[in-house]
This record gives sequence, structure tokens and C-alpha cells, in this order.
Amino acid sequence: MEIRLSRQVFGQVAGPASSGRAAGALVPAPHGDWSARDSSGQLRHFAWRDRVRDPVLSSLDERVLASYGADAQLARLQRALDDVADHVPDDAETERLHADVLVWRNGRDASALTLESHARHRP
Amino acid sequence: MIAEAVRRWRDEIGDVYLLGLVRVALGLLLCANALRAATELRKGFFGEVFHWPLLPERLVPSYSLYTGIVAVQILLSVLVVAGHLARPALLASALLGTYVLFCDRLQFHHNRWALYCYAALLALSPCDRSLYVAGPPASTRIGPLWAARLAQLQVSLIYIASGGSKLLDPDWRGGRVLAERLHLYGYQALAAGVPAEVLDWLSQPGTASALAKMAIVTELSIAVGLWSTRARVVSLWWGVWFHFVIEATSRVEGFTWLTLAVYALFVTPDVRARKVFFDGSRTRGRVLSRLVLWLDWFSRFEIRPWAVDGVRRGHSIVVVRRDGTHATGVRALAMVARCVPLLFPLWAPLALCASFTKGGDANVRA
Repeated sequence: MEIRLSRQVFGQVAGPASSGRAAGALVPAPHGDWSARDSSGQLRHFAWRDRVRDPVLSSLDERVLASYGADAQLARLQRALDDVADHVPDDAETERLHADVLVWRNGRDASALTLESHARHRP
Repeated sequence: MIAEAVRRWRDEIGDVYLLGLVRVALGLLLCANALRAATELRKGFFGEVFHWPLLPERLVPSYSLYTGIVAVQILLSVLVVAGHLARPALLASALLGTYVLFCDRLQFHHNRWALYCYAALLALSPCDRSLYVAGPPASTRIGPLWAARLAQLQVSLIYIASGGSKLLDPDWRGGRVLAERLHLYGYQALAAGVPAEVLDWLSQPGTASALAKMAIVTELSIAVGLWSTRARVVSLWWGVWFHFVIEATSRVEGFTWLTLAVYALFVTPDVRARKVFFDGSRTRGRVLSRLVLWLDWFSRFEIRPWAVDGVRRGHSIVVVRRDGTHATGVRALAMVARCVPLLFPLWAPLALCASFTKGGDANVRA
């Protein structure tokens, strides 16, 4: 499977937190890295790997083997998305995290699916 | 009939020397496991990053408590190896390890769970009566073997679960899973020096399918063969090579060494039931006898120089089997390889060569 991370910014963004992005837009987070402003307008850097250390879950944008099966790995990914969403309190822009996942079940053609974290509250 | 079998299992006793050997091996693996946890802890505490507990979050240890747990795990593993309070240490290691797995299912791996299961089962056996460095000497080395039989059953269950799940999965038995793994991780084999042609051949659907079926048959036949007196040695030999191949091609942490260690539970629990006589006047005889002495971890052989007679003349070593018959030359080497763990992978080819030799089987009883 291969995971690409992106984030959805808040629907009604005001002031310096908007960073000039369209409200509700999906913004890619290549390799799980992104920058966003905090509630005071300060630009901050965030990284998926700061919170997710599992070797498979932390390998974004590359094809990895789901040793215990795709379903188990997707369940772990869902938990990780929620967990990371809960642990970036300084990110005042991101409403939720998205993971676009390509799953090759034992060498067959890839099937695409999207997981997303629960919605975050605006700080 | 079943009641009689259960009674036999419950009441069986025997020499527990080998249980001590398995205990030492498990202790080393528990130590390696605890040191891995310590290394990971230095990089960061799992409780402070994404983890997924089976237990309520309030039961997940704090950083300082977890540091203490890892330190205790290291200490317990040392006690297990040393044979001092080994059985409580084994049980505590199993319980602490299981607790950590329950605190973070991301840390679950089959090999870790298997290690804790074996540790708990071995704790129920008199594995502390041999190979210990502290404490009073054991009054006897004869003890009950029922817990060792349970650990043997665990070996078979693992093979049945692994082979059975592969058999029921059409993708596995068809070779798709193996082919996909080769596709994903073939570069590692290339880096390790495996020729690209070999890798290409292995990746062919037909080859991958045949290998998958061979793996399934291997696992299921070992699960059964280990319980047959006649098939056991072949099953063990085939299993050793099977696990070597897995070790070379997959990342299974300590699973290979764990399985090979518990294979020792299937060794007949008799000590020094065979003899190795060597010609003390020959350098080769002395070297070979010393080699057997060093490598005879299962204490299979009584080793001593001989007084040259009609049978032994011209041979550096002569092996006297359990039934009293003599083996010389390649047959003697095959016999030694069969009993010595480090040489055991060579046993089948040596035994095959020996079967083509005319001599080497002096029909003389000791």
C-alpha cells in the first residue's frame, strides 16, 4: 500500500490564519510535512513522523508491505490520523487530515480509497 | 484411551538437562528483546507518540515506569540465563512482555508473542535443574515433562496456524503473496548478492506458486512430523533449513532462533546415551574428539579414548549408537552431525552419503 497525506483547511478562515488558501481546500503534505499558522499568526512546521514512529505507518509516499494485511494496516492508519489530528494544537488552519491510499492486494491492480481524521475544532 | 493418554502425559518424567539449555536460549532472546526495547526507548517513549493500547489508556505506563519495566526485563533475562530464580523470572518476563503488547498493539509481532508464550510454558517446567550458575545444586535432574510437552504442542500449533492460514488463502497458495514480496523487497536480496537471474526466476508465477505450496506443505508436515518417532529427525532437519531460508529472505526479528531453540525440546531426553571413542595416538582423533566435546551442547555423547582393537583400528573416531552398534567413517560423521546442533544442517547429506558406503557400520555391539 502507499499513503499520501494531505490536510483540509477550515471552511471559514479569517485573518492571518488563511495563508491565502481557499477555504476548505485540500493541501498536500508531501512526506507528511506541512506548515500552518497558529492562532497568533505565527507560521509553524508540523511533521507526521513527529507523532507516528511506526516504520510502516511513517513511510509516506512510498509503497510498503502491510505485513498483517491491508485491513489491519488501514485500521492502524485511521487511528493514526485521528491521533495526529488531536496532537497538533498549534495548527490553527487544519480542520482534518486526509490520507489517499493506494492498495495493491497481492499484486493486483491498485484500488484507491481515502481515510480522513475526525474534524478538529478551531483553536 | 484418552484418559490414559492424558495420564501418561501428566506423569511422564525424564532427564531435564535439555530444558535448562532451552531456558538459556530463551533467556538470551528475552535479553535481546529487552535491549531492543531499551534502544527504542532512547529514541522516544511509545506512550508519548502514536500508540494503540488494548488496555484503557490510564493503564499505559508513564515514561519513568516504562523505563523501570525495561530495566526489570533486562534483569529478569539475566536471571533466566543464569538459572537463578529462573522459573519466576521466566513467568515475570512473559507477563511483563504481554503487558507491554497490551499497552501498544503496534508493538505486536508474532515472534514476540510466541517468545512470551514459550517463556510462560517453560516456567512451568523444571528448567532450573541444569546449567545454572547460582543457588544450591539440584537434588535430581529427573523431573516432570508435561510442561515441555505443552511447549512442543505450541510449536505445532504455530505451524498449523501459519500453514493452515496460507492454505485457506487462495492468494497465498497460488503464489501471489510470495511474488508480491519478491517484487517489493527483491532489491534487498540483490543488494545482498543474490544474482538477478535467480530473483527473476523466483518471481515467475510458476516458481512462486510452487514455492508457496512447498512452504505450506513444509509447515503442515513439520507440525505432524515432529510427533512421529520415525519422522522427527527429518522434520527437524527440514525445519532448520526452512527457517534459515526465512531468516535470509524476511525480517522476523528473533523468530528463527526462537524456533530453533525450542526444537531442542524434541530431542530425546537421555544424556550421554551414545559414546564417541577416539584414537588418542592420532592428532585427528584428538582434534575430532575435542570438537565433539565443545559442540555437544545436548550432552549426547560420552567421549573417551579407546584401547585399539579389531574394530577400531584404523579409525580416528568410532561412534557407539544407543543400541550398541558401531559406526565409523562417514556413518560416524553422520551420527555426530545428527546429535550436534551446529552440524545438524549437514546431517541429511552426510546420512545420504553414508547410505551409499559399504563400510562404516561395524556390526559389533559395545
